[in-house]
Amino acid sequence: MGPKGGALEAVRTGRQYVAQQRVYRLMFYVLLLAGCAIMLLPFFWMLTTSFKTQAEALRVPPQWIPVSFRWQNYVEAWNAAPFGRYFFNSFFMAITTTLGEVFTTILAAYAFAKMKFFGKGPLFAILLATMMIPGQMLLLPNYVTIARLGWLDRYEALIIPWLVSVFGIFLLRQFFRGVPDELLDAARIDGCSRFRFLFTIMVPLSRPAIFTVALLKFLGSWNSFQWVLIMTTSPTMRTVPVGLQLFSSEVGTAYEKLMAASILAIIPILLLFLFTQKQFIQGVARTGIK
Amino acid sequence: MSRLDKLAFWKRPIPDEWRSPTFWKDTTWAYIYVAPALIILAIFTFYPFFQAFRLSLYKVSFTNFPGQFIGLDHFRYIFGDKYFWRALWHTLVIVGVSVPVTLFLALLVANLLNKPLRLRTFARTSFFLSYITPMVAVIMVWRLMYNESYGVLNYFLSLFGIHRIAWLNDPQYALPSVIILSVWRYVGYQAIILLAGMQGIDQMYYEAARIDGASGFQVWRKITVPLLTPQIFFLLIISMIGSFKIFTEVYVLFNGPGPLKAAETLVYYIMRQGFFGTQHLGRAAAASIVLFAIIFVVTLLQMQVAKRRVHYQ
Amino acid sequence: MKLRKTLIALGLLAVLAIGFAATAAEPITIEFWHRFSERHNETLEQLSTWFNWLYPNINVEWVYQGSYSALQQSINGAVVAGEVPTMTIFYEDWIPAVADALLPLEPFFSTTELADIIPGLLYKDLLTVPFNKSIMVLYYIEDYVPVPPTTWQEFYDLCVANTVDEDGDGQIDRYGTGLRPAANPEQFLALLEQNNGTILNEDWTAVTLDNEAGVEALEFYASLAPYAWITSEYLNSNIGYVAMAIDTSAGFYYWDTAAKEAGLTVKAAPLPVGKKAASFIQGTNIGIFKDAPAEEIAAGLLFLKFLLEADNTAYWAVRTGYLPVTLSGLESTVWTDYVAANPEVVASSEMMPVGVSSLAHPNYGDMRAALGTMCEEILLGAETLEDALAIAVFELESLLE
Repeated sequence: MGPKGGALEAVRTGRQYVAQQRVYRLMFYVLLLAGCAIMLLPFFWMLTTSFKTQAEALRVPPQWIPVSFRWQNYVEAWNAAPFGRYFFNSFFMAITTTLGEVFTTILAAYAFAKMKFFGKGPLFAILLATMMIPGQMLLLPNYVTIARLGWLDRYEALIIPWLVSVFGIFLLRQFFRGVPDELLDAARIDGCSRFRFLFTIMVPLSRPAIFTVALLKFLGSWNSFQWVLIMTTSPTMRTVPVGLQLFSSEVGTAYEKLMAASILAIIPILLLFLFTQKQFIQGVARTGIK
Repeated sequence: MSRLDKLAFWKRPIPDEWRSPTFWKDTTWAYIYVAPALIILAIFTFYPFFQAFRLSLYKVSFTNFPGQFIGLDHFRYIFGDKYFWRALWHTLVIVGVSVPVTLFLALLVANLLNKPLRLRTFARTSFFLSYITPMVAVIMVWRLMYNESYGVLNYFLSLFGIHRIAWLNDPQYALPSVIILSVWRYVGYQAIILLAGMQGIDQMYYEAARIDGASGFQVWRKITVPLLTPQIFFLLIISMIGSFKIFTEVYVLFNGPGPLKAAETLVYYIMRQGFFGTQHLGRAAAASIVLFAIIFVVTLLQMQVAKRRVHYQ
Repeated sequence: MKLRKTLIALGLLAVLAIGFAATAAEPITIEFWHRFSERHNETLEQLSTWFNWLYPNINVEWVYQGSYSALQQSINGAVVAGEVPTMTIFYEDWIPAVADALLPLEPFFSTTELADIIPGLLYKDLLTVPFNKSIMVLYYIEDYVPVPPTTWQEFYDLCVANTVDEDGDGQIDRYGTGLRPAANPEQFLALLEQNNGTILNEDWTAVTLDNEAGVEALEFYASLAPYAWITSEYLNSNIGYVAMAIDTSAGFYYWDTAAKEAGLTVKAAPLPVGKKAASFIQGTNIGIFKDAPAEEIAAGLLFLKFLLEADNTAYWAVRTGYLPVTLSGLESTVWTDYVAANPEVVASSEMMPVGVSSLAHPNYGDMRAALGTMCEEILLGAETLEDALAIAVFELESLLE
């Protein structure tokens, strides 16, 4: 479809082209905005409802902007359930599992990436296979195990089983394999032990991948619901998502308080995201690159 | 060696590396490195995996563990329970609808995000938000939005003259409620992954296409999509596996399995048998094994297809 | 007075307990698991303080276990792990799962004491005794229903009259009543009881749900469908959407708050009367684990009896909105004074003596689920009444063991 006719023709088609492009651009903007609106609507609703009175929350037709700004909803929500404790538990669980998992993952990924050993192939294959096992299949037997260990409703139940992530091992192994073997050989010749090599050279080199692993773990831990629901019972042990669910069943339908509590539950992750946006998104995106 | 001999590992010659003592020294070290991960996996993944098989064959109860051996009775019950089949059907519907719809929408969104438009970063954040926020908080607001009397969704419908829908109380709309929620939640995540894939496509392909005079659509179909197949397959697999395991959405949206159990998924069925009401632990274990089998088969099939259809650059 | 009467009644048991306590010569702590929310804490503490005055060496440690399901999991987990508390509250349908771990309480109660407990609340083998109970009452919004119905025909008529489309937009703006078949089959079970129907026969060998009385009750229940909001949500979640509701007395606080915010007045009345007056009682019981140490069991029994005393059960009821569980409790001055000052409680108080609770059958949990499914199928038109009933009966028969 090259330019036809003379220069005038070229200008006319040129103008048409520019106009067409402008229309396209407008269309794309509109589509994008519409998409954003749809995606953000629930959050908008959550925020505005958290400031409403109960009557406003249930109004038909819906009240878009609350007339009153009931900060008390937040205070009441915070007091109605031990949210302080929930947050502490969530943070504690997320941080410890992240640190622990990063540690075990680095070690295991290193072994699979850089060492030759007996049974390496089959072992790795088994590890990969576990990714197909649905968590629910293991939930019940794990419940029995944890009950018999006496860990029910204790931190051990929330943390120890989650100190490993096969996905993390897989991800990190890919990355480690990218580090040239010559580096390791040179270091060994210089008398550097494997362990030191791992932590003084490999790890700093793999910072983005490790960050990804840590981030995904933190996120997963914070959002963990089913496991915590089953393994804990007292409110002193509940984490934020489970506490929120409990709160909803106690409070019934005081949606304005429920929304306030939900906003509280979202804030930490939101802050984490806002401060690490670029690495966050890159990290998640990286999981798709094989 | 004949082909059969290649499989019979006892017929193969002992590998050279097994003869060197450093190999075995390395092996010891390697296992020490792998030990922390392996121990935890052994206790909380391997052991319960086999334990689930065991439990499914016994009449387990909390005061009587593991109880009486009853063979395949649990499986017989499950396969004879119409609610099991319904749960399976519901799950298949969810998978069959939300997986392609989410992927398709994600492709569109990724395309939009790839263009040099001003709102890009803002849009990227808005789409991603639904994925990172804790599920329970998000589902709560959807419950409010789905309310038949005062929910926003019905308000929007009323603007178009559409009659009020009882999203959470009408059995017909129970599954759509779950599907809409699921699509909304994951479209951003999938779009980000696809976007990363798109940005990784070598520009030379596009340049070559432009020289050849290909239209935008043709470029998309013949270059972008095929080169995105690694990401597409990755997303297909994890979103399929994820959709098979849907539970929390149902539990929090409906505070139960939905009207007439219309939103009961396989995992909800498992949880209902094992944890809610009278606890039939053995039955739940049996049902979870069926779930595993399904996921296993589906994943294997997918990987077979992936071998032939995925194009790497 | 009360003190002397208590000591005499306990007799042998008190001697045993004091004997154990004396030999131990150190304080005994009984661990009592519960799920009562913050606002009941004070009352619990007061009760244990009074008990402590009577028995200075026995401490009651209240342990909050969280929600309904949380407590159930805790109990099950504890039994599996072999680490049981002294006593805990139970919802009736949890008991069969751990029945073997509970101490049968009948030997420790005199016949007068047993006769004092509200008949509908006596649990088989007395594995547990009732503790906090609420009963189903009829809530009605006075603005729409000035006079509450006393017969089911009146109720039906009011439902029809109150199912209206006020603004003519083709959508019903208010229903006569609300039904929660899957979540609350007890609404139907109250009708069944009033019609002299039963789910099973006396010795649990046959299903009687489909006899004449049962079918009649079910037909009436089904006839309400066009005039009822059928949902699994709480009926007070959209106040004013239903004019009347059969709901538990324990929810009065929430009904009242919601009504006030919306500018309506809600009141409670006894259920309309069918062939006889009856209602459904729900709530928890207390049980003692037989694997707890002997001194704790003895102390726990003392505390149990203490809680069942007329004034104490009345005090608990007054402070929490639940109801006394003994006949003498209902007659105590503590309670009668309270009723006089709080007319909304009259309805539930009057119905308590004729209340019934769920079957103590080991498979009741599954039976209740089957009944709930049946009710839901009928109300939502998924099955005809005959088919739904047949399915339920078939399921119940398979659960008879």
